[in-house]
Parts: sequence; structure tokens; C-alpha cells
Amino acid sequence: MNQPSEDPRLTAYALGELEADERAAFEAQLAADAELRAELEAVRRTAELLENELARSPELALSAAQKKTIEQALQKAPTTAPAAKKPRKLRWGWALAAALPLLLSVGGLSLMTRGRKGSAEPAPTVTASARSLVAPLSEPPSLALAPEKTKGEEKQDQERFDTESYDKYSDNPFIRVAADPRSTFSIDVDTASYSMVRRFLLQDGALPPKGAVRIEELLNYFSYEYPAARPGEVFTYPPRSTRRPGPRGTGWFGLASKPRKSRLRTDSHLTWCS
Amino acid sequence: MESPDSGPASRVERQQALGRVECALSELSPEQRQAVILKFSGGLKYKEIAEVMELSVTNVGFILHSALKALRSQLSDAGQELETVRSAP
Repeated sequence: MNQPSEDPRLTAYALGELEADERAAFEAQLAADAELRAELEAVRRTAELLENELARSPELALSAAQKKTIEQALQKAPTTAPAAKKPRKLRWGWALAAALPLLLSVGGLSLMTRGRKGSAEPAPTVTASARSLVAPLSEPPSLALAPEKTKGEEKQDQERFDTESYDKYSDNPFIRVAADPRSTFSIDVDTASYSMVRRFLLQDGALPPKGAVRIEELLNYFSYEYPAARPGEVFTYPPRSTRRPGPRGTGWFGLASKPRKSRLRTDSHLTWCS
Repeated sequence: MESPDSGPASRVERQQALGRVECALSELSPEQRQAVILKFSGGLKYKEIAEVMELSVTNVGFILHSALKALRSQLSDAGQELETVRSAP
């Protein structure tokens, strides 16, 4: 503990967790050490930021139900017999697992993918979203590309930080080609869902929340041997994506987009943690 | 911090701030994340966190301190990059 910043009493003091005698001793040390005081200030700022951001974001915070579960478990703790300890731990596991999706949310951070050079444009194209390409084959009566997103869903995405939770995640509806022959793709380079899902499965030992699994991001995570688009074109038709009539005439149709050079990618600023 | 209703710009900034926190949290170990959420969202005391996570109070102190240190360094890095983007012409 040579560096002042490594002293866990800094955090304990900032959070009001030191006992009276420890606190007095630490305050004496603080009074004599400017570097320690600066460290304390930094700890306080971080703690304040965390508290504020968690309080303002229902997704990041524990839900009321989870808090209640925690309170109930803590109230029971003193009288809990050792034999009953294990089930309690399991309940905690559940409560915490339910709290963590927010940490792994993958949708809302696309704002962070803006150009490092100050461009206000969204991140450039690398791979077409595959969301439309993996639509279930059983429902629609005609060959259809599932629409990218309804306006309502886009709004939900925009409000994700305020109201949307992963539990409400739903598939796009099918649209008859006869009714609306056009479809749109979002073209982005998000690949974070793959890392998040992997982290859930391999590190946390838990199933990822449904909404954290974004199929197109899982697909985008990997490199494919698709032909590069020709000059002036955005999309290519990968060899494997063809019409494959499915039940009741439904089909599968694929497009890919691959930059001819990696110049586009170097302009993007991906702050994804993976 | 600005009011959440004060327009698109502040909304974007808020989302960026939140994104930074979210991103930084996801970099922590599962143990650190649990302790941070229990502390800063749940408002639990060290002793209670120790109870929940079945760790010693000292352990909780170390975990939270290291978590805050990691968050602080990540958030300040991200903050600088965002500033760069914002102030670019």
C-alpha cells in the first residue's frame, strides 16, 4: 500500500463506512497529506457520478422488486439457520442476475460509435444488419423481407435509456410484399452483443437476458468471405444467400455489405467494451 | 447536471454520460459490478453487501475501492474522448 490511491480507506471514508476511531485516524492523515486529499476528492466524484447515473437510469439500477428481495433477505439474515443459507444465496443470484442486463445492454450505445474526427454522421457501413435475414420462416404467406423497424420500435430504441427494458424486446412484424414491397436495413457495425452474450455464458454462468441477444450483432461479430462491393455500390449478394422457398412460400434472402477498404472502419470510434 | 427535459442536446449528452457509465461498469469483474450496484443503486452498507455476497467486510472494502478506481480511470478516458469529439469543428 505504497500509493495513497491504493488505500481502501479512501473509499470507505468517502462512503461513510469507517468506524469512529478509524475515521479520526484517517482524518489526521488526510490533514497532513495533500495527495491523499486529492485522491479522496476523486473517489468522491466517482461515487457521486455513479450514484447519480444509477438513480437516473432504471435500466442500470436495481428494480424496486429486487431491492425488496434484498431487504427481505437481509432482514432474515440474523435468524437464518446455517442450513438455510444456500437457498438464500441462490435467491441473491437470481436478483443480481436480473439486475445485470442493464450493464450489458447493447442497443443504446450506438451514439458512441460516432467518428473520432468529430463527424456528426453515424458510424460508417461495414456489414448490413442481418436482422431482416433471420426472420422465422413459418408465419408469412409470401416471400418477404421483414421490415427493419417500425416507427414505434425506433421510438422505443430512442427511449431505451428511459423506459425500455430487455424484457419487452420483440420481433418485428411481418409485412406482405404485396402491401409494402420496400424494406430497409440498418447498416451498422455493432458487434457488442456477441461479447455480452459470451460474457454472460462463460464468465457469469448465466443465460443472457432475451433482449441482450441481438442476432445481427452476433452475425456481424465474425468475418465472412463475402465479395467486396464494387465501386459505387453498397451491397453485394453473397453466394449463399438465395431464395430458398420455405413453408407456405416464405423465403430467405440475403444481402451483405463489406467495405472495399478498411478506410471506413478506421473512421469509426467504437467504444464497445469487448 | 442538466435537466433531462432541456432539449435534444442535453439528452444526447445524458445518453453519452450514461453510455460511459454503462460501458465502464461492464468492464468490471462480475464481483465488482455486483458490489457497485448493491452499494450505489441498492444503498447497502459494506456489512450488508458482505452478507449478500458472502464475503468479509474487508473484502467488500477492497472490491469497491478497486472498482471505483477502475471506473474512475475509464470514465476520465472516455470523457476526454467525448470532449475531443464535441469540440471538433
